[in-house]
Amino acid sequence: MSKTITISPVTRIEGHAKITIQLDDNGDVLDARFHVNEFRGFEKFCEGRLLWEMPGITSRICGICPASHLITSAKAGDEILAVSIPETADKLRRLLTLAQWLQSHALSFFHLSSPDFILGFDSDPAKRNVFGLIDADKDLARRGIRLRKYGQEIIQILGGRRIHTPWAVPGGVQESLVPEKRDYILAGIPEAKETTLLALDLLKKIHVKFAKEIPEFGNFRTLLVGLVSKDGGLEYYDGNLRIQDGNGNTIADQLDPRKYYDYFGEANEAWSYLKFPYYKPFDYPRGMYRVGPLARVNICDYIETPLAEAERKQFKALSGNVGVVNNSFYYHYARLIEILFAVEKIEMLLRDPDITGHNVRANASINRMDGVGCSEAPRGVLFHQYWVNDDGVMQKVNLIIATAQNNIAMNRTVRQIAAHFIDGKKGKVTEGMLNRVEAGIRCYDPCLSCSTHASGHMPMHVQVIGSENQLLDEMWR
Amino acid sequence: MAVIRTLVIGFGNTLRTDDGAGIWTAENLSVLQMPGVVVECAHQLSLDLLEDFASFDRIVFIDAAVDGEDVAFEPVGRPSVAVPPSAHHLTPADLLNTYGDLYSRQIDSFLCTIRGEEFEFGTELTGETKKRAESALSLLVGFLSEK
Repeated sequence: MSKTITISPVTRIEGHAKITIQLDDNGDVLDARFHVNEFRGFEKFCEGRLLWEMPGITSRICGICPASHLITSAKAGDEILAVSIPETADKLRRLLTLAQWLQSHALSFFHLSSPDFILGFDSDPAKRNVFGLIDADKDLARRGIRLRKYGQEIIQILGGRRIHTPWAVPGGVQESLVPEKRDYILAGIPEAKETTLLALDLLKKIHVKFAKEIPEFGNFRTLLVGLVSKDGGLEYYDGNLRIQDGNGNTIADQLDPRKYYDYFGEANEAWSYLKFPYYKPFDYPRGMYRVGPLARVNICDYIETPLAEAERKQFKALSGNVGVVNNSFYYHYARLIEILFAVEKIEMLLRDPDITGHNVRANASINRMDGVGCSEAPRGVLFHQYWVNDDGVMQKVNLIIATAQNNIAMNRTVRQIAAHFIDGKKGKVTEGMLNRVEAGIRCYDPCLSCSTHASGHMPMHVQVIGSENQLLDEMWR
Repeated sequence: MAVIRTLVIGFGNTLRTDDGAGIWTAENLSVLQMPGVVVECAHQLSLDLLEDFASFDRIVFIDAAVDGEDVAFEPVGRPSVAVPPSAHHLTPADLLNTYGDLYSRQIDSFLCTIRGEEFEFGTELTGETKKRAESALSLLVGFLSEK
């Protein structure tokens, strides 16, 4: 008799979601789905608001990556004003974007994912969280907290507060950086670098420890999408789109991100509020693609900072003959490489005398009726498109969020892990098996635009439901 | 006599009317620039704040409350559970307990609560709550001025 297993809520992610796993009559996994059951509606209620308010409003989409929405929104505003922002403002926005990467990636690795690695997938769920990590490895926990705080401090120094700063605006930024604060940020670079290198060493040991399990963690070929610089380097703030396939072939390059709607469509499924973006030429769902650290570190030809570039080469060596690291578990590795890049690049930007310049904003009125902003958020490429009237009042808003672009791949990851680790024939589905399914989702560090994440003893509810919807078994965590 | 170094943390949601009472009070305290007093505001308490504690002799939290006295001021007690259910919903007791675990140091700490009337969407405190927040401010100024 077929059964359905439900994991709800999925823990240690940003937001609310559940996973259902359907077993067939033989107890084998028939299907598994990642459902996002929260709804925000920002696109609709932004209509009628002024263009200049949009960075501040859209930064409220998220408490983890508000700076990415802020920057992308301001860039859409630049397009509508038809301005080229001052160089100092460009560099300051880049600094903010990197600080956002740093703090968000540190949260993902140290607070959310490392408890699985340090304590084990099968450890007590009541302790398998950041507080359990504190008990198990105080130094690592302290370093993780300090690294994330460093990223947040940079955001606070630039924007006046750690989250939801309205600092970036159409045309530039509101305030310049004074030399004393630049020096304060610079003083934190050595420790941030040291912590990241320690985390990379730790992760390489984790790769060995979980060598048998890693091949089942979302290991399949997809398209990979991200921004690259004009000469193919890792890009985070500007640049053009590159699309590669799972064999490392570049199928499109230097695409103008302002025409994203020519390349990507959005499908809907009745069982999730999260849309399913896909690459249009391949249709849905074959046009599945991945964005974020795994995609970015895979598709770029180089990283401009030395330590991160050396790590990128080691990362690429994992791909063997394929040329692409297709396993979603290595999102964690790519994420740490990006932290290292962020730390190095922040230092480079701060040592540029231009960074303390005073000319930080171009003023203009409405010169175009629509504009697209694009940047690389921690979880992948982010698009904001706005349509305005002559007074700059929003007529229509379209947002394509990074997490959504991984939606098809996240679903496939859940199916792959469930099929490998869950065997209904044995009659017992353990909490550790289900945690592995959740951990597959955590590879992507999905940000479901909500202000909550569970840290451990959340009420995971598993239901085994028969083919006629009768409850056969039930388990609570 | 050395100045007692005090970190004051006002927290709450300023978009939920009286839930912003803690932040309102902290911001008004900050304006006074009292010696040895550093004021921070936070939407919610998170682990990142722990790093700030090391430089201080005591911590004062200010929060809104849905019930209880108009203004209450008392030492922070023990947490109700050993492990908080979420790293996004930490209480002052959770935070201090975690600080003790992580840094092997205890720190004097107090919680000032201000009872609110209204917690719906809105950016202004209600009249009653504003009066209570003003009382809390006076109480805190007195406490922080003590030698």
